[in-house]
Amino acid sequence: MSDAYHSQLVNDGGTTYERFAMAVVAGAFAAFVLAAGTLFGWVSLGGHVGNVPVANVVAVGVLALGAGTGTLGVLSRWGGVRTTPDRSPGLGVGIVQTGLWLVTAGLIASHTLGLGGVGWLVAVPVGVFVGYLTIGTREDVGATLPAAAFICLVGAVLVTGLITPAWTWEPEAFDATIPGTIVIPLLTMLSGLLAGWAGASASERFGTRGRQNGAFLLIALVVLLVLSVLVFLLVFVFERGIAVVLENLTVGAGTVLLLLGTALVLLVKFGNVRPATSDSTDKIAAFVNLAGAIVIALVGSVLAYTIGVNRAISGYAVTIEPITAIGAIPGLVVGIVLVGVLRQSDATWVPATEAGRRVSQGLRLGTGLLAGALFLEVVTWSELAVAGVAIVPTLAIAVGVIAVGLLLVNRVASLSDTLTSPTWLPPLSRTATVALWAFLGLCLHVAITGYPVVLGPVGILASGSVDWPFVMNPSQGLGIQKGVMPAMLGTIWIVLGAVAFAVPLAVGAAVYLTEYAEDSAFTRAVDVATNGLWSTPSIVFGLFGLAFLVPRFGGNPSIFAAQLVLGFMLLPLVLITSREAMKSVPDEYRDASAALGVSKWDTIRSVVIPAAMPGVITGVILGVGRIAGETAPLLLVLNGPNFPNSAPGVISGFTVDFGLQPPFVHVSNPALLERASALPYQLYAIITAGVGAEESFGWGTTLVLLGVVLAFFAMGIASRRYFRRKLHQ
Amino acid sequence: MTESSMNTTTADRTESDGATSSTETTTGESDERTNAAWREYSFAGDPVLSVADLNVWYDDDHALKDISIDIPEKSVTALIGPSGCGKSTFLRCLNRMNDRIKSCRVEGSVAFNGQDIYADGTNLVELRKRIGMVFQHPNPFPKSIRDNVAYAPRKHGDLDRGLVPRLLGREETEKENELVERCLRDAALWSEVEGRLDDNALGLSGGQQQRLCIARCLAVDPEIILMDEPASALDPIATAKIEDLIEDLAEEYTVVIVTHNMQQAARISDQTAVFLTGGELVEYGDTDQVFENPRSQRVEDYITGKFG
Repeated sequence: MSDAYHSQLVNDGGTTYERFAMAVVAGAFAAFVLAAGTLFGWVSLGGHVGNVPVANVVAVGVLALGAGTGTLGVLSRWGGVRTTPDRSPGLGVGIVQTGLWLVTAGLIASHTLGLGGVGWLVAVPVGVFVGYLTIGTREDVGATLPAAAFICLVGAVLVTGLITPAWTWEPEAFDATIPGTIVIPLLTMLSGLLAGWAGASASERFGTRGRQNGAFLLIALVVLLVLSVLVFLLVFVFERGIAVVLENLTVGAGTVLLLLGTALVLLVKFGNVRPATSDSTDKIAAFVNLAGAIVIALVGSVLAYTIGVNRAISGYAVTIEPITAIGAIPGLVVGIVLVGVLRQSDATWVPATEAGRRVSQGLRLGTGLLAGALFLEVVTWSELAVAGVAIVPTLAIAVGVIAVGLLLVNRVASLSDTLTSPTWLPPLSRTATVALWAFLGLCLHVAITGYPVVLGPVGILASGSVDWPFVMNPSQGLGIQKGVMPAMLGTIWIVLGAVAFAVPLAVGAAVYLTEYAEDSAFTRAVDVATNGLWSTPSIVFGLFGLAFLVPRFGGNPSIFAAQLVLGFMLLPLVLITSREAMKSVPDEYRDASAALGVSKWDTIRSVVIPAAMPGVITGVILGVGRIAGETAPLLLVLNGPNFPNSAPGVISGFTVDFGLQPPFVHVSNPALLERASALPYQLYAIITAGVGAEESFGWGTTLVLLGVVLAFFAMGIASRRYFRRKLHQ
Repeated sequence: MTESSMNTTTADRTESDGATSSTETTTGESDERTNAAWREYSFAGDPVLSVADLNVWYDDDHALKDISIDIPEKSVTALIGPSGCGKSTFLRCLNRMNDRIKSCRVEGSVAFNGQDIYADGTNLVELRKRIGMVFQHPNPFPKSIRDNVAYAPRKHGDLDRGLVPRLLGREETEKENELVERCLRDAALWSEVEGRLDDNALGLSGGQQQRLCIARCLAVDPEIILMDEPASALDPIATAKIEDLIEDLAEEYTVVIVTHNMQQAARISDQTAVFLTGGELVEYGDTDQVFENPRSQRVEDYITGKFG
């Protein structure tokens, strides 16, 4: 025994026995993955490998797995392989084996042998006996042989054709038919789990380390199963929805290039693309990122080629037109993202010389003038021009050209050995930021006025660079034209309204309960009430909204009522998570602030809330995921036409009247008080319409709904990341 | 004699001494607890803090009993004593941080420059601006180094920030830069953080964080700095830096420091107050005198390691 402990101190790595055990683990893993694939429908049991049916391959594989598992135990106990098993595998393993064999024996006795209910009486002693044997033997035997016997039994049943894909089982207890195509993968999966656990245990020669290894493998397999369920769900929806969503999509090549370029920049900036200098899982991630970067670069060069030869590419209902000009909206999005990226590397530039200060002031003046002109345009929502010359494009192009010029000078100076860059030259990040602001200004100008700015082949277009019929058009009713635009905007407005309504209230309540109220019966009652509110069925909220809110706001179901009702639903979760986040802010911060003579409210505002912000946002993310997909309350309080032909004009619906009586300014928005549609609402309408041909429309709507939820999710994650970085970096 | 056996004998002796001293206190309580002469300490000038008959209870637990003590200005006063003797409670009474503990009740008076800080209508904001505090564990805010130092002056409106910079939230005024630099220099941290003022303070080492907390405290320009075992969570090198810093600070500020470490008290303080179990102030006097020639037998036992 002491020898065994000596050899365990330094693992010489890889005796034949250990390699054999690893092979069993690998086989078990393969069986598990194959079974999962069969369950999800990626592998068909009816197919063939060569000439052999897949079902037979599975059967032989399971049998081999069982034999391998048994061999591991036999070799360890009687084959002279040196292992370090405990005296018993433990009560847990015994209970598992008891249950396993009780069910197995019971099913065989009651169904195969036809004993009925009496069979289960026979099964009890069998299960107890196996459990007793398991616990009573040494660990290497108890952990392997009962499992091996079960796997061999499964293998034998499959090999002999007792259970085939065509086999079915109708249990009397409940009215269902369980086909072989479900039973075979499930049994294979169970066999894989058992064999993998035993094999992993054996590969570390049983004992403490063996059990740790076995537990690790079990957890890994279960996590894999959970992840694959999630991936499967996304892929399933994506597969069915993508065709109808992308139908007739037309994009300008310039816009695609711009988006791809941004993706490449982000990938290189934030992703690890150096496999050579990273290890373990990072290495895999780096390879994936590198592959992504290469794919982007290749697609980019193909697009550049199509622009060069002036030919459109189309495929999969998508057309890429050889237009070099880019769209204003994609330009805005890309510009904002890139400005955000640049801000992180933007060290404040304090010019040392007088000339440098003048350059800095000049740049600031240019961007300031541009911002002022844009502000006027946004307010008036029309073009600002003097004597026929549009001010914004002129300014933006001038500023942009100067900034790019400075940027080039800087690059050239840094490349050359003989030239030293002048002291007044701003750093790269500064000039690039200014150039980007000019670009953003130009995009905003085009988006507002609708006049394209084009110089030769390049430029910014107000429309025509992206034509996405499914997302940009309303539906004209079933069977005519598919489109989700009104419903998508409806969902976005409702979610934004609910967040704007609920988050300040919830955070305020959390501040009061955590910072001001003493821990008392009152706060505990509020806690219970909020937890209860969060678990309240959504249709109850909907009915409350219909009976209480709707009569008070215009008398008919409306966007506003839907915003409030979903806001009520969001309130408790944000309140609960905000409270938890604020409770976990260390009291040391509050003490430190109080000892500096800072008032309680200032402390809450400047220390507690910023530190609690990531937790608050987590609550908002979870809550938005729930309310964005809520259908039941919307049936009652939104209840618009199923396929409205226009989007709710929430922005353009604002009217401001000035009067002589207080409060002097009247702001109203009739669009908020109108009925509307939302994505889950429209999806429900499509499905319940019962028109079979419209199933693809439903899948497309689902995909867009998923996209909208994921976009909210991404915004939440990004803002949480921002606040976390502020706290910890 | 091996080290372990020495420890055993010390422990044995402490135990037996504890037993005897407790019997002694029950019999000869009067001369142990009422000898006011041991707490007499005369110094030139007016005391900056004058505590009279201070009693503190946590619910029914009488934590401090009849404490009367005068603290001279621009000096280091050390409060030493075994765990649970109430020295931290006493320190927290001096800027009313105990108000934040619900179960805490304070009686008696603490006069700061002649004004009783427990009088009705005391402005706590003003009081805590003038009597700053540094805690046992470094507790910088999860903000940048600059924001940590400028935090309180900004809140108190001592730094005029223009409307536009405030809206942009970026530009620091000249005044703020000067203040941050001066406080960090005074806290002997400037040379280590110069050029990375916008980094998060949580990225600093423990000793640097504690000096940042001192700088943050200096930024409100206090008269008195209370320190609650400021070096107990730090390594010897960081401790030495903090000790040097405290001695420098005593030229401009009045420092009251609680410490477990008797050598530390002997090294840095001008006068020492010894609290012993039960929340009593037993002896107060010149540091050299308290350590070399204590007047109370219990204090001598405590200092020589026989008790506590």
